[in-house]
Amino acid sequence: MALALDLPLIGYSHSRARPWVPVPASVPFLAAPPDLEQILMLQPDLILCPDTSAHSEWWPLARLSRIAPVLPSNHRTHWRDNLDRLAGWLQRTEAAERTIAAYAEQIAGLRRRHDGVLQRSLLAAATYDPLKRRLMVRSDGTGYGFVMPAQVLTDLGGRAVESGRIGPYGEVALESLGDVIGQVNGILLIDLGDRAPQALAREPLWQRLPAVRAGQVHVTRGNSIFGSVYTARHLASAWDVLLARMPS
Amino acid sequence: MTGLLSRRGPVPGGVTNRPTLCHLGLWLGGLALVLASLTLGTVRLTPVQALQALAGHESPALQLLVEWRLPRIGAALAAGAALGLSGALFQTLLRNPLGSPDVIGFDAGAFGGALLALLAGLAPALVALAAFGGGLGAGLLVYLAAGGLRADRTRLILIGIAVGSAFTAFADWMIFVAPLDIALVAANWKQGTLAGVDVQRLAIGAGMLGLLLPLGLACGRSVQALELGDDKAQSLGVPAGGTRLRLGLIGLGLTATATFIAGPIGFVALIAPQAARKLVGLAGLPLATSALFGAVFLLASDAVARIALAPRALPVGAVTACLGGAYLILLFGSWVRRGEPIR
Repeated sequence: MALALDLPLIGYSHSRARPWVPVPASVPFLAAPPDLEQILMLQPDLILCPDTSAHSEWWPLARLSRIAPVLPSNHRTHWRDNLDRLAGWLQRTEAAERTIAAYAEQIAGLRRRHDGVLQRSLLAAATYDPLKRRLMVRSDGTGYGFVMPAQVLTDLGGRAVESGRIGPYGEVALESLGDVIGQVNGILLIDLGDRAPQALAREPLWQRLPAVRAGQVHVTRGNSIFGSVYTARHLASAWDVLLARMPS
Repeated sequence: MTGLLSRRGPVPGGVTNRPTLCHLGLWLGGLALVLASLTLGTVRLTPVQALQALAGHESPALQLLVEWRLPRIGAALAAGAALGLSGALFQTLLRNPLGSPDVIGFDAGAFGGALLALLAGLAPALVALAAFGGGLGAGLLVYLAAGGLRADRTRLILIGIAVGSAFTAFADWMIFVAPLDIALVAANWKQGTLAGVDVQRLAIGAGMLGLLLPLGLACGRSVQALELGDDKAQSLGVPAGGTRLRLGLIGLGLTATATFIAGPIGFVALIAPQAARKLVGLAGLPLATSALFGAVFLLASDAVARIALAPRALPVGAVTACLGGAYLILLFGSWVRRGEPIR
């Protein structure tokens, strides 16, 4: 969000920027979880922090506010609303409008191109946890809130697996794959970089899914579960690739 | 009576004023660690700069010291003292060096109680009360499952380990199904961490400790009497059953206090009494020295947690597990080499 609003970024934490996020090479990646002393040393004028868990180690909004003013974002709302709100606070509405318009144009193009498929299909975005051998379906309504894959799919007008059919955080045990996502026509598999897609590909219960058998799976590399405009645009392109594979 | 109790004086080869010297050494070591913890970190300060900042006007250095480092130091000292004393009380009660609250599941019970209160969105004071309730619940469960009044000490410890595992599994499940914001806080807390300690939590914890620490330290005579066995304790006017209940409740309160402040931190309660005993050179477990050693040990562990991989911080529980585990192996190894019984 800071980049989208042309704010002078002096450091960031939590996780390294994905390849699709244009963070200048000169901006340092700070300790994760955030080290308050390190942030204090940078003497920021403003801190942006999600209000996900204000007293946690990862998003210590309450303690960060002792260093500099903190403007929050909320993981349960659309990135566009977060950007709008931030732009309003900082009087940078023009930059936000430009960004939002460019994204809206991209989405409109995809909707035109894949309208038929989007109308007919049930879609799922998911990651795989090879240690616990379970799929994590990234629909809206789980404990993780309105995650980015669900936001972009909603913008496209696509239908996702309902959160009521999956676990509180979107988990689906391998033995339930058929029941829960047997009806899914296309799967966007997010590769978190732990060779999970390769492990999943070896699972017979995964191989038996109709969408997998039909080759209607697209693997997108890099963690795109949370983010903002750049992640939204990256995901829109990923959904585009998947939808293009599906029979129109 | 006094004569009997004084028989547990220095072990052969011990120095008469050794306990005093040990206390002095621990106090000085603690002070040095406090100074080191104030000055070391991502932002390095000299001792002079730290003192100047504390004496001066508002500045980033003052903020750093007053808002983050001092509460963290206070929390380490308070939780460490509580765990050290609690370990000494339980190891005396169970007459077994493995009979510490973290091994027999009382800290897991306290954490479970606190977690339930956290999930219910209760105020910090009620979370502290719930931690005590959880610890008491775990204690009662262990006591009843081990056979109540007829409980054998070894069985108590084994059942305690099982009850602790059950409470830990229950806490894991609660974290898994909790809303994300609470799950994140609880998961951090479960690892044993001093990073998130704020002034409010520390104040409540210090208040509880201010009540329980004198009560615990006042049990010295009862502890000495119990170490002689139930019959001798009875003949010295120390009723074994009532004394055990009192020591157990105080120990549980201390465990709950430490858990409330910093989460379930392992090994401190286990090794502090044994280390204190070795330092002082007495046959029994010295309560004040155990508390002091626990405080210094936890503060040292937290310094390592903060500095070892800076700017990344480790959970202090991971450090106490490493240091404590290594120390325990050395300690037991030395006993085995000397042919001493593990007591």
